[in-house]
Order: sequence, then structure tokens, then C-alpha cells
Amino acid sequence: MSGSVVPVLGRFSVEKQESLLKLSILSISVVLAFSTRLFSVLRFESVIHEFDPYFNYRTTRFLAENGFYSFHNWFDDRAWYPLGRIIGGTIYPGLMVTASTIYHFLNSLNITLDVREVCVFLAPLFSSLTAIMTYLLTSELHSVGAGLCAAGMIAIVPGYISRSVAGSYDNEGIAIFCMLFTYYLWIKSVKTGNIYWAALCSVAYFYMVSSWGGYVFLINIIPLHVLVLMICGRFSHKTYIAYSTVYTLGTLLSMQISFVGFQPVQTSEHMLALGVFGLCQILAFVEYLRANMTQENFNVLFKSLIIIISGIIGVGLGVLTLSGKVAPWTGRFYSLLDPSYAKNNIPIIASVSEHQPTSWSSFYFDLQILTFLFPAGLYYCFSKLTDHNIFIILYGVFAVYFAGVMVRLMLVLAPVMCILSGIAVSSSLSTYMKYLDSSNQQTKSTSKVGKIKQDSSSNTQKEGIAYIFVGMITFFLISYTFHCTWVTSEAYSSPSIVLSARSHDGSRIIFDDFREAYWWLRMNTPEDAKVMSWWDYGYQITAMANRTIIVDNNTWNNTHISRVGQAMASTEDKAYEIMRELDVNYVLVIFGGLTGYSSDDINKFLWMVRIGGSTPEGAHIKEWDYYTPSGEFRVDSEGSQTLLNCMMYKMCYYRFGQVYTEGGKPPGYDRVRNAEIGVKDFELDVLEEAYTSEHWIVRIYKVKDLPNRGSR
Amino acid sequence: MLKDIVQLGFSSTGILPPHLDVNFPGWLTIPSSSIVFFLSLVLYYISVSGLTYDMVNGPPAYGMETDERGNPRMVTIMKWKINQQYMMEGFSAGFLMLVGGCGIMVMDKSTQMTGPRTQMLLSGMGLAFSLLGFIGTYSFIRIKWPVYLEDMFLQGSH
Repeated sequence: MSGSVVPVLGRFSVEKQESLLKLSILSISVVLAFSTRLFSVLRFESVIHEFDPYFNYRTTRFLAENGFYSFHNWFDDRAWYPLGRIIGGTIYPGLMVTASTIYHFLNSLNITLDVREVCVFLAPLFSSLTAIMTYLLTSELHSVGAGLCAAGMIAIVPGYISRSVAGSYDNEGIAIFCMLFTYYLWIKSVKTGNIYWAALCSVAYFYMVSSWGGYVFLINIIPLHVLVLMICGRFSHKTYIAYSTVYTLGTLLSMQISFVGFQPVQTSEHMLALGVFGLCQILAFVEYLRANMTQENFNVLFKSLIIIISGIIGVGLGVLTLSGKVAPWTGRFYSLLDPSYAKNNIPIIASVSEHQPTSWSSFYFDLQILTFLFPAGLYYCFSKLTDHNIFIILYGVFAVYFAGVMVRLMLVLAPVMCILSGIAVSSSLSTYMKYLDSSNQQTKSTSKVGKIKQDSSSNTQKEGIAYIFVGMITFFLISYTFHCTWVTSEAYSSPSIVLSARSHDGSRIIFDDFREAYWWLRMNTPEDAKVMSWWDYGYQITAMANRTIIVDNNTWNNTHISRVGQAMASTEDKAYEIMRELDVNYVLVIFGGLTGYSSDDINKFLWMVRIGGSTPEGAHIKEWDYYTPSGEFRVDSEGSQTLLNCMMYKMCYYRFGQVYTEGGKPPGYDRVRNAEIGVKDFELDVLEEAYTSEHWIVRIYKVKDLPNRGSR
Repeated sequence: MLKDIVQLGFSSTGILPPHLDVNFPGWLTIPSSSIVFFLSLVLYYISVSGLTYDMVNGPPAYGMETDERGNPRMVTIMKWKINQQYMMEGFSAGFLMLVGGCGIMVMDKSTQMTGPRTQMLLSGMGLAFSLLGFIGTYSFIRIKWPVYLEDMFLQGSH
């Protein structure tokens, strides 16, 4: 407490000013994190977005109405007809349990919110909690100033907002909070070596496992951290206690989730954790022996033990992997190590746009200035290496690599970018703000009278540089906020179940076709009707239309999806056989040619062909049949005959040939493919049109029954 | 350590182990933190420039288009597509981001130097690098997505 520092708030002491500053910055970050995610609720209404959240919403509704035991034992016969799906054993229940707990808690206080409202606003609530958790984690890693900076940055970073807007009710919304919570407790347990913190860390890890399949990242980063500490010679009893407790309790708890089951001891993704656990025990035992034996005895024992044990482990692991007891790395995770694997072998994984590799503009779009502050943060961590700094360095480097391989994993990169950038901003600013502190300069110049001139000139020089630097950092941070708000507002706030566009006179048109068509299905078809569509729309149809579907977004059965793909890609007669086999009553397609909506089924058609042709029954479907002789995919009169006669083409363009879509163009002009369609006047043999939504985006066809007499 | 393994290997076959002086080579040690830092910066540059994207999707190094008079012109930045890039574009943008980061590192190093001239030079270099990184990436993204940061306060149409 120096007398020349004028207290801003009169009689408050410096500590009280600091706590006030901390509290106000944190509250502003929390409120900001919540409010910046509300764009779509303000523009449209509080509605669930996208595809996957509809499934989560349906299961949460079931859980809230029927209780946990019936939820855990639920066998759903309304999806994947005729196979059904064991929901209790194939989901991560953390999200649903959290939402229904909050729902029941609020209702017990007589705040009667609907389950849908709780689901829509759960992700923003957990983002606010994430901001607080980032502050705690970064202050453990570096300093309070860095923590406040990181909390402010993670409140608005677009890479996290994209998966946690209000309405995006998906696992990632709570998973990032659980992940940072687990990391915070892990750092605490490595710093203190207390079993209390390590046990809390295992409980937090259990919550993380219950919420997202990305927990595999955690169970590999934490052992990797311990391994690097061992290699650097920093392995101490604190790390030993922390890791042994976390691994044993954490693995036991994680196996309580039905979906995870026995994977922690059977799959290769978890073997690193097991290996490092064994290595921990060996190292600790060796230290104990070394402390209690003479040097030569110890040397002999040590060398023979190492050779014997590494031989056993090597041979044992090899035998187990070769005999299949330990499963090798599975498809999704293997494609992180070998990015071309999915493209060549598993078309379903390759077709999801979130699984594509990342380009530089996605990094900049999602992170802006954090991309420069990240290397600077790494530099500050490397210059002051401690046990916990090594953890954040490992997390950062691996997260950057994985985010480069798959766009979806940008979400895992965003928190560590914020943490390291917070460290960079805080360290650099505190270095330079020292030169702007006036009391410092006064004491300096009065002490050395002889060197006054040099000191004062270098001081003014340093002061000038400091002013410029602080101004530049302030400018960067201000531009960051503008960027983040713009990106959130323009790119990440569309519900995608409701589309909007501007007409030529500037007014907004809302396309509510999806909900209109699903509600028609709900009201005008029999209860046990079966609907066939491409797997993207499965979750939405079961949640909103409440009808049985053939395939949905879970994509667990490639053969079944391939059968649907064959039906879409074949001629009407062949498709009719497949539809009779699957008991299909209605077929639903999405068509964007009238409105210019480009994510429609014709644009996805080539994936249907590839997946349809990937199983033995679809061997007659070859992708190049659907291209023109010159290798283009065209829907006009030059398109290939196979394409112009397949069922998907007929369903999308039925009666479209008489519609005028754009001024100056002939009727039947497809606004997405920018071409006039090839075959305009045709009739359907085995289908009849049941419903077409207002802007022709959703088209529903009824499958005709078998004719009364013999042949058609 | 290595000597014992080799001797064990020989004795298990029944042959008398020879007098060997085998050791791990001298350069095989744990790398220093500066080397690891440099390697992590290299990995960062590789990931941020979208090398995995280049390897899987194989875009051309730059694109070609013809202008009004029929001359072929080079297109370096792919417009209107946030998740696609040309290879040269990716590497240049990644370099700019790395340079921006290095600017802040250099500014920190300059405070540890004595002598006003070195300090001035280094801080000038650091400021220049950071500003270059920021302004460079801003220009790139403006070219790539021409309506970037428009419509912030006005309700225009695009």
C-alpha cells in the first residue's frame, strides 16, 4: 500500500478494491456469456435448433415424465424400424439428467418452466459457469490477472459459441464445463498432492464421461502429462498420489455409464492410461527400494526387474492386440491419427461436414486474435516451466493438432486458446505497465543522481514504447469483441429449422416449412405410419411428427442406411421392392430448388449413391452412372439417364416443370443447381404426392399399396 | 543399461558374451525446452495453415480466372467459402498468424535486454510484427468474405 497510489473509491483498501474489481469483471463476463448467445431467441423464438438436439430434447422429455429407471431401460421401437434402438445403453445421459434435474428443481419451487425452455437455455447457463471455471483454472495455472482475461475471452469466443447458443441443446454445451472442471481439479491435485482433490477430480471425470464421447481426450491428456513429467524428471510423490487416485476411482466410476461399459479396459484408446498407471507404480516402487537398499544390490535388482517387466508387458500387449482381446483404435478416433482413413474406407464419417479438416479461415473466424496470442502464451509458459504449465502446454499443442484434423474439435481448442491468450495478455501487459507506474520512476531518478539524464531519457523512451504497446493490445481486444459479436450474430445464430432470407425490397421472409410439414405428418397420418427419409432428418421427425422412422442421425447401422440409399437411387420399381420390404408408408424429401436452399437432398444425393453402393446388395449402384459422360453432375437435359430416372429425382421434381421460379427463366428452373430440369412432364407409378410445404422445401409422398389384381 | 540387455541377449542363446562397450549415442538425450518450444511452434504453423485439409482434399496452389479482356489472372484467395482454401493462401495466412505471435514474444524479450538502442530496435520490430500479423489476416478475411464486419450497426442488405 503506497501513499502515492490514489485509491479510486475513497476509503476502500487495496485488497477490497481488488476483490471488487475481480467480482465485477467476473459478473460482467458471466452476464455477457449468457446474453451473447440469445440472438436466435430474440430474432425467432425459443426453439430447439439443428438435428441432434431434437433427439436430446425427446429423451429429456421422456426422462422428465417417466423417471430415471424407465429411461435407463428404454427400448425405442419408433426408430430404425424394424430393428429398434436401445436408448438406455447407447447415449451419454449426463445432459438429459442435468436438464431434468434443473426442471424438477425449478418446478419444486413453483417456477413452472416447460422442459423445452430448460433445454433451450441450458447451454448459455453452462457457458456462464464455464467462464467462472476458466477463471479458476487460469488463476491456478498462472495468476489472477490471467484468469480474469481468460474468463472475459472465453465468454465470447465464437469457437465455443457455435456449439452452445440458446437452442443448441447438445452434449458439447455441458461437456466443456465438465472438462474444464476436471482439469481444474486435476491441477489442484497435482499441486497439493491431496487425496481429497484427486477424489473430487475423479467425480468430475465421471460427470465428464456421462456427458460426452470426447472424454477420451481427457483420459489421454492426463496420463500423457504424467508421462512427460516422468521423462523430465519432475515425477514426485504428489503426482503419484494424484494420478493413482484419479485413474482408479475415475475408471471405476466411468464404467458405471452403460454406454462406456468395459471399454476402459478393452479398447486401445484407454491403454495409455493403464500403461502410465503401471509405470507410476513401478517408478514409485523403484524409488522406495533405492531409499532402502545398498547401491550395488539396488543396481542388480533394478536392471533385472526392468528387463523382465518390459519383456512381459511388450509380449503381453502384443498377444492381446493380435488375438483381438484389446480392440484397436476405432473408426472415428483412428481418423484423427490418419486423416485419409475415413475418406477411403468409411463414407458415412467422411460425409459429415463437421468431420472435414480445417482451413486457416475457420481458425481465424472462430478465434481471431487468439491465434496470435496463443504462441505468445506458449512462450510465457515455456519460460517459466512448472509441473502444471507442462499440462497446459501439452493440452494446447495436442488440441491445435486435433482441431486441424477435424473442424468439430475446434470446440476443444477454444478454451485452451483463451487460457494461453489470457496468460500472454496478462504477462505482457504487467511487464509494460511497470514503465507507466509514476511512483516507480520518481524513486529511480532520486537514487542515482549522476545518471539522471540517461535514466530519464531511457525512461521516457520506455514509457513511449509502453504507451504504444498498451494501446495496441487494447485495440486488439476491442477488435476481438467486435469480431466475436459479428460472427455470433451472422453465422452461428441460425436455428436451421426456421430459415430466413431477404426479398428484393429488403423485407424478411421466414421459411417455416420444416415444422409445417412435420406437423402435417403428425396430424394427418395414422399413428403407426412409417416414414422413410435420409438419415439427417430422423431425429426431427421422431421428435416433432411422432412417427416411426427407418434411419436416423445415430448412424449406427451402415447396412440399413445403405438400403435406404439404394431405394433413393434406384428406379421406381426397384425402390418399390425395397420400400415394401421395409414396410414404408410415407417418403419425405427436402427440395431447395424453389427457394435456393442449398442443403437439400439433391445436393446430398451423391453421398446416398456412395453409401448405397457400399454394401453387397447395392453393388449395381455405381457412382459414375450418375454423372454425364464428361464427368459432371447435372440435372438438366444433358444429365445422365440413370439420374433422370431415379426415385429421388422424380420425387424432388414432380410437378416442378410447371413452376416459374425466377423472372426471365423458363419454368422448372432449379435455383440451387442453376439449371432448367431435364425431364419435366412425368407421372409417378408407385408413389402419390401427399403434401408439399408452402415453399416446396419439404415434400411428402405416400407409397401406394399393392394393386388389387395380378400385374400392374 | 544397453550393455546389460545385449549381454542378456547373448547369454540366453548360450554363446559367451563378448567384452562389449555399448552405450546409447551421446546425442540421444531429452531435448531442451527451447527445442521443444520451437517444435511446438512448427506444429502450430502446420495445423493453422490447414495442412491436413491440403493433404485430404488436395486444392490447387492457386486458382485461375479470366478477366474481361480474356487474360488469365491468378486468384490467390478462395472467396465466399469459409472452410475451403488454396494451398498458398493457407501457408501465407498461417505465417502471418505466427509472425503476429512472434511480435509479442519479441516485445517481451526486448524488456530483458540492456542498452537503449537494442531495446528500441527490438521493440520496434516486435510492434511491427504484431501489427503486420493483425492487419494481414484482417485483409485476408476481408477479401475472402467481402461482407466481413458489415451490417454491424446498419440494417443493409447483402
